[in-house]
Amino acid sequence: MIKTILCFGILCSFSSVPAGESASDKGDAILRQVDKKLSPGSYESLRKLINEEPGGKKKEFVMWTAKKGTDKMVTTFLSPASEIGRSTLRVGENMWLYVPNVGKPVRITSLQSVVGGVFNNADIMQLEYHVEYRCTTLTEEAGLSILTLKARNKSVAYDKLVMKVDKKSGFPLEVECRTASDMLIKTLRFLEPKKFEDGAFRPSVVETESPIYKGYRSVMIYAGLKNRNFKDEVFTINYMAKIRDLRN
Amino acid sequence: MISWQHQTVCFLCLVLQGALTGEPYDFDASAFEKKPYSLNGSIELRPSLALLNRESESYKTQYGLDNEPRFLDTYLSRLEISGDYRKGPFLFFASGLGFAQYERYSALLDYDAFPYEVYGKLGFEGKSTNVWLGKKTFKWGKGYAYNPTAFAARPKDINDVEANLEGYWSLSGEFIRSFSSRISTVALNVVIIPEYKEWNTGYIGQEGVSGAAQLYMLAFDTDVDFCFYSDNGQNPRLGIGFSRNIIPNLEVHGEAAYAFHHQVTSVTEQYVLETVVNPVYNALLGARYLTKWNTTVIAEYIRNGQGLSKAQMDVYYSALRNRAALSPDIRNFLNLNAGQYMGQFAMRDYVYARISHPEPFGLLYLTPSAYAMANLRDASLMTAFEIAYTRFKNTTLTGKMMVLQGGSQSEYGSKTKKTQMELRGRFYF
Repeated sequence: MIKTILCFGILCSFSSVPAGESASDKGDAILRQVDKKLSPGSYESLRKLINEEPGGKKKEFVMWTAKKGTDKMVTTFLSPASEIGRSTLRVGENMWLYVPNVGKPVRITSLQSVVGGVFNNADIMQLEYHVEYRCTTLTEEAGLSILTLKARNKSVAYDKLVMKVDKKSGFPLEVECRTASDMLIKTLRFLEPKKFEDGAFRPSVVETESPIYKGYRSVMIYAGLKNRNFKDEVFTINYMAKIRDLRN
Repeated sequence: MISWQHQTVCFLCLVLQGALTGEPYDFDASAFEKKPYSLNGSIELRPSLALLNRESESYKTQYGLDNEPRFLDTYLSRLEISGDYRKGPFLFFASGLGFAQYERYSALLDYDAFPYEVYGKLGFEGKSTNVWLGKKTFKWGKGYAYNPTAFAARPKDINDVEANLEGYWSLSGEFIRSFSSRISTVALNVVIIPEYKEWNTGYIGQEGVSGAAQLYMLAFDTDVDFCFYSDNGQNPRLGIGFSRNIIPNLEVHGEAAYAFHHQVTSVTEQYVLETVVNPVYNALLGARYLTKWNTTVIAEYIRNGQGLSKAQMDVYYSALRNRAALSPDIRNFLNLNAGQYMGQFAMRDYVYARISHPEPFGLLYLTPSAYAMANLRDASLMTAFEIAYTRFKNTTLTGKMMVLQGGSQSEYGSKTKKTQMELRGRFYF
């Protein structure tokens, strides 16, 4: 009996679910679970973003983030002094940048980077994967679900993602961001799971490297992530200059 | 068994990743607890060297006919500070600039200090309503280089479009509502700006009270503004603006404003003053494009209906050449209104373009850029090249070179300076 289960387990662990409705449906369901695991529906959090150079030099940023539902997010920089008050708003596919000196929001795209380094706006303003991507292929091996995801529309930063999800925890371990021609743009790794203020257990570090920036690495560290509901009016360009007022 | 497999794989993955990443990451969030106050600022040092245009009438007017100086080196230092204090629904905010500039040729030290903004804000968060009283900046409009609908703001400096602007003393209010529909946001801003003695001098042009309003909507993924202005001088203005990403990496924007009664005084061919009142429109149409190589291109066509015609500018250049023959009244008028003729957007049709490319060749924190403003009526051109470096914490280093080209009777060809180079070191605290 044990041998049978073992054989079945080994077979299952290296099986590949062919692309098709059931596989993609199952993949989409896994993706929804990933989103639920990664963050609550509405929350606030602090994030530290570290850009590391090949020589070991680092540049750090700290930002406060508020998210509501599947389509609204706003971030504002708390540090360093040169970036304080710089805010980014995302409502669905619309994205704006507010710089205090400039004094008014300007539209930006998800591919730009507001801070330099390997992370771009799409990484920093990531809402929920299942809203932007659908699963095309699901492969299962050695405790992992490997999802190949295709962007639902052209406004999404990366045409294709390959996501490795740990079956037991439901967390993504690694996400490869690729172009439509399958060129690797960057790899995100989800690390150091810990218990957050809302009681949930989730990765607290997202690390990224890119073959485009050889030797450079960017890291995003989450802290103070807790459930909080916001009024819709907070996620408007009129509010961007006042985002810091929302912090408790 | 599968569970054991999963646990093993998961553990190995985390161990492997931990080994690859080295030490665990540290983030002490308690250091960023919200405080009731904040204080920030920057110090900037900006030496510059200009090659002067000794053929220009403005050079001869300013420095005479001795053909000296050829170069002008100036040393500018600026201190910008902003701070706020919050208590419940109340916020007090103040920001300001102090500067000192030394020009070596004239041995002139110029210095000043003034507030950009000083206001109190009362926020009614439950009703998404805010009220401000004090000196405040209102930057309306969608254009990058020019904003016809910025009815309650001072004009931008086209050579530093992202610089802070001084506000006006005002009473203003804002009301925001969001909806779950294709019109997802509606926001109304209302501003009352008085002009009285030293307060807001020049805003209306006479003592009195003005009112301006902006209705903003996010409708069908498009930012739309409707703007209105009026004052006791009965000079109403209407404006409209929009901005939209038509494809993810291409944004288009536009603004148009109509002034019902625009008054302008200029010198005629007979060297007498003439004042006319006409309706005028100002407009801007532009686009911002991000290429797949991460280069951003901004292009804007600017129609400045308030500007002078080519014929009016030709009379001005002619008057400068024949200054000795002018009546004292005309000389006095030209001295007092030099900004009308020599300021930015003196004429009517311009094209602005800017191109920037962050981190070329994988060089992080380095951003080269270039911009140009072309006067379409007199075929003169101002071009600038910049390179910014932001590698060091709280420090921005910028090198800039600006070149002005055009005939002697053209906007950029008639400026005192022909070429200018400057370095900027800005340190934030």
